[in-house]
Amino acid sequence: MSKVILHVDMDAFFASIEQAVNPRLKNKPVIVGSRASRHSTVVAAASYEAKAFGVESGMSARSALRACPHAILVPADSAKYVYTSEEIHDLLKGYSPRVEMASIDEFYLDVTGFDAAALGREIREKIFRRFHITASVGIAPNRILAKMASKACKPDGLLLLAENEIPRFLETMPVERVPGIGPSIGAYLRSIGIRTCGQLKAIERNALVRRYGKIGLWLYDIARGRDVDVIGLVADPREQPKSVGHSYTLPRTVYRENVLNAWIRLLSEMVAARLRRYALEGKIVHLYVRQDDFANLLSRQKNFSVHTAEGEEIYGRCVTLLRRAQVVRLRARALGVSVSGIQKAQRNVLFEEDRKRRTITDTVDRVNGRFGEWTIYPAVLSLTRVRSFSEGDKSADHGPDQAALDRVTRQRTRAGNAFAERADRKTDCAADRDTE
Amino acid sequence: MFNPQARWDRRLPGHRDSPYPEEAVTVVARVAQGKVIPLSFIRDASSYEISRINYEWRERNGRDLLYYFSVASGDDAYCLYLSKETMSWRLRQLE
Repeated sequence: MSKVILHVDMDAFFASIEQAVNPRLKNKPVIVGSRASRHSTVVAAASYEAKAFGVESGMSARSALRACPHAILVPADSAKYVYTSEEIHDLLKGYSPRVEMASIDEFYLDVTGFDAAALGREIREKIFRRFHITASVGIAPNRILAKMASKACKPDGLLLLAENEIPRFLETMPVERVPGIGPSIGAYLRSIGIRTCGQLKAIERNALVRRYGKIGLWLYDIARGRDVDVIGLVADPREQPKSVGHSYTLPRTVYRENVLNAWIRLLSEMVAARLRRYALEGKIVHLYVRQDDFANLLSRQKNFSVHTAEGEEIYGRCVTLLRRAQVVRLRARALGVSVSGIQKAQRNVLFEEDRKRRTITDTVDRVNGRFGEWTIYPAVLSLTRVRSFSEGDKSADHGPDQAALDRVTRQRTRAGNAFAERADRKTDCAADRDTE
Repeated sequence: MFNPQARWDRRLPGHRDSPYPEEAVTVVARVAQGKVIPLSFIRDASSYEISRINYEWRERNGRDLLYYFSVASGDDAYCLYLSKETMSWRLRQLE
C-alpha cells in the first residue's frame, strides 16, 4: 500500500492569531514584527490582506510599510504562538501515531489506510472551531508533494493529490516552489532554461548528477514526484537532541566588541540553560556571525576536550573561535551559538573551583525556575539593552548607567580574555579533532 | 524534531515584555471544571461586562502559570491575565 501523507500548514499563522486575539485587526493588513520598534524589526508574518500589497516574511518593517503604508504593525508575542502550536500538535496526535512538527506552523501526519480527505476536513474544522484561525491541508503520497499541495491550495484549502494526478500537477509547477530548491539551484536551473518541474523532468539523470551530485539525484526524483523521506513516530520526549542552539537577529548592526560579546554571552547562557534542563552537556561549540549585508557569514566550530553545560564556558569558547577568526571591523547583524557532541551530564567534579561554580549555577537555575527566566543574569548582559551602538553613534549618550556598563564590560572583557587564554592553553594541549 | 520552545523563547533579560501599559484589576470570574472564565472586571470604579472571550492561551513564567484571555467589552478589546501564583489579575487594553 502506498503511503498517504497529510501536511497541515497554518495560514499566516502569527498574523491570524493576532487577528483572532484582537477582532479590530480582522480583514485589515497586519504585519507581525519580530519586535515592537518600527525601525529595527523584520516582518515575522503578514496577514493575507498585507500580502496582497507585496509584504513578505523576512522583509524589513520599513520596506513593508513602504509597500503597505496603512498596515498595522503588531509586535510578536511568542507565548501565544508557541501555546497554539503545541495545542494543535496535541490535537493532531489524536489522528495518527506518526505526527511530525516540522516548524511552529507546519505538521506532517502519516495517515496511510485512512480516509485522508475526511480527516483533512475534520482537522481543518476542529482547528477553526477551537482557535478561529484557518489551516490549509495537502494530501499526497509523500512529504514534498503534500507540502506543495498545501501551498497550492492556500489559504483555507484542501488539496488531495492522487497518484494519477501527480504528473499533471508537476508539469507546470515552477521549480522555485519545490521545497528544498533554493535561490542558487533555482538560478542555475533558470539559466539553462528550466522553469517548471515538467522541464526539469526532461533533463537526463547523469547531467543532474554531474552538476549537483546527490542533490542532482534528488532533483531527478523530485521532478517525477518521488521523495523517500518518512514521517517519524511521535517524538519520545526522552530522546536526546543531537545539538542545542540559539540564534538571534540583532535589533541593529553591532560594531562594538563589548556589545557583540554581551550578545554572544546571552546566547551562550540560553544554550547552557537548555542543556542543563535536559541534564546534558556538550563539547563541540559552533558560532556564526552574519554581517550587516546578510551575505557575509562567519562560521566557526571546534571540538573542545571537555564537555560543559556552563554559559560562561561556552561563551569563553565562542570568544576563542572569534579571536582565531581574526576578523577586523565585524559588523554583526545576526548571531548563533550551538553546542553538539552531546552526552548525559556527569555530576562528578574533580576540582573545588568547578564544584563552587556548579553550586552557583544550580542556585541560579533554581531561582530562575522559581521566579521566571532571567530573574538573575550576568551583569554584562545589560549591554544588550544599549540602544546607540552603531558605528556613527559611538560617541552618543548611552544613558545614565553607561559608565557603570563600561566598567562591567571592562571587567568582563578582562575575564573573558583570561578565560579564552586558559581555553586556548587547554585545547593546545589536547589532541582532539579540530573541526574548524 | 522541531522544538517551538527552543526556537521562540525570545524573552530577553531586562527587556520589557510588553510595549503596552498594564494595570491591576479586580475580575469577577467563574471557575468550573478546572477552567477559569472571566465574566466582568472593575476598572476606575466602573464595571465592564465581558461579552466575548476571543482567544485564550497560557504561559509559564518560572513556577508561575499565567492564564491569558483576550476579551471584548462593548466595542473595546482587552487582554486580561491571571497569575496562578498570586491569584491576581492584570489588564492591558489592546489598540
